[in-house]
Amino acid sequence: MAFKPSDKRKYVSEEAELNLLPILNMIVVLIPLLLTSSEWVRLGLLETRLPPAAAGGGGGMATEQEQPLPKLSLLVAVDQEGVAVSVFGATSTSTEPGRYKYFPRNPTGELDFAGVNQELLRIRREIVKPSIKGKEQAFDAAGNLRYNSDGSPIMVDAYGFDDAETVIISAPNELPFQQLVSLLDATRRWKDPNSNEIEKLFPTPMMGKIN
Amino acid sequence: MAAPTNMRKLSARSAKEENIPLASMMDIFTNMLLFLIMSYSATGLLVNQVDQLELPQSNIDTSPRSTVSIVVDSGQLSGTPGVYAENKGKRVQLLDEGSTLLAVASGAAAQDPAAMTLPGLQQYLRGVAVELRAREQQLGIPFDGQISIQADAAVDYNSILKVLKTCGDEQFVMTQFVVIKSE
Repeated sequence: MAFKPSDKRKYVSEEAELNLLPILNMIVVLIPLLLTSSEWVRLGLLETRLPPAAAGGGGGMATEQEQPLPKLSLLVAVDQEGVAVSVFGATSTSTEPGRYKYFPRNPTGELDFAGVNQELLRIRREIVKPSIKGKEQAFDAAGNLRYNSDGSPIMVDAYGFDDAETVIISAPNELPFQQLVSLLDATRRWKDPNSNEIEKLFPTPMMGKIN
Repeated sequence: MAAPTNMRKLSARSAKEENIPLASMMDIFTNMLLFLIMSYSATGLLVNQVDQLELPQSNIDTSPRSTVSIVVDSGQLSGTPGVYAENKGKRVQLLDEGSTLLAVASGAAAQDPAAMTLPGLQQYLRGVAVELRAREQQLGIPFDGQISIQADAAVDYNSILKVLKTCGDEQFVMTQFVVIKSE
């Protein structure tokens, strides 16, 4: 009697293939969805305040102080030749050191935004920061107290100056908006080139015209 | 044994599944998907950039919000300077002609507050403020005086001041310029 041939010989080794079609279907749907709904140009919002004459009442930082706080009166004034940075109402003829500095335009005609940025950092560190008196609750532009979403009060630094976070911008009529935005960037913050840490300077610009 | 017919040969050939090599396509798609997910951001959907307008670049990190929006166009790209009402990235209404926007008052006229006011924008904002105040009373949505301005990078400072002054006069005190984030 002959033996039955072994079943093992009948098995043919087959390569097990993954069924990629469902994954492919999902990817084909996801890619167009992401492409159409993604933001390719990143937009931001640059907040500004009204010119001092139209603002009325000095904004929301006014507190129930009996004695009004002294004014820093930080002014960044652009003219045809360059940018002047002054505090406490100082002018080019003022004799007090560290209160007025003028930055002429670069040889290419560009405004010296880096110089202005450094000078504002100096003012912030040497004049404004030493005047911090502690913390107080923040006000919004309408003069109302501000709260976090959990109901806790939003606390900010209380300075010895009434306008410690404000910079008044003055510029000639023909200054292009892009240069104004670059100037506002220079007044708002300082970025450490080594550590990339950001230090707040004067985040509340008030645009006006000094005649 | 008889030789197989042509039909049999054909059917035998089609019985073999011809597999398309999908692995390389999968690699491309996976890379694309990862890139898109990593760079995905949908915050810009709240504000749509208007065509033919070159927005200024800034290092600001504040994200856009959906508010009342206007366009200040220098006419450098569009050829039609002026102030427009904006809705979903389109100019919907011309509020002030370029001649009004770009006019620079001199001498005694420069001291007149009316010289710094844009009448078309003023009228438009007055109507919007009434509408928003009514909504505040009916629905409880607070009117916070926010307005976002899409201004061309080439617009001059005098025009910007006019827009700011007009907005402030009509209770829109929280003015925000839309910029392109440069970092």
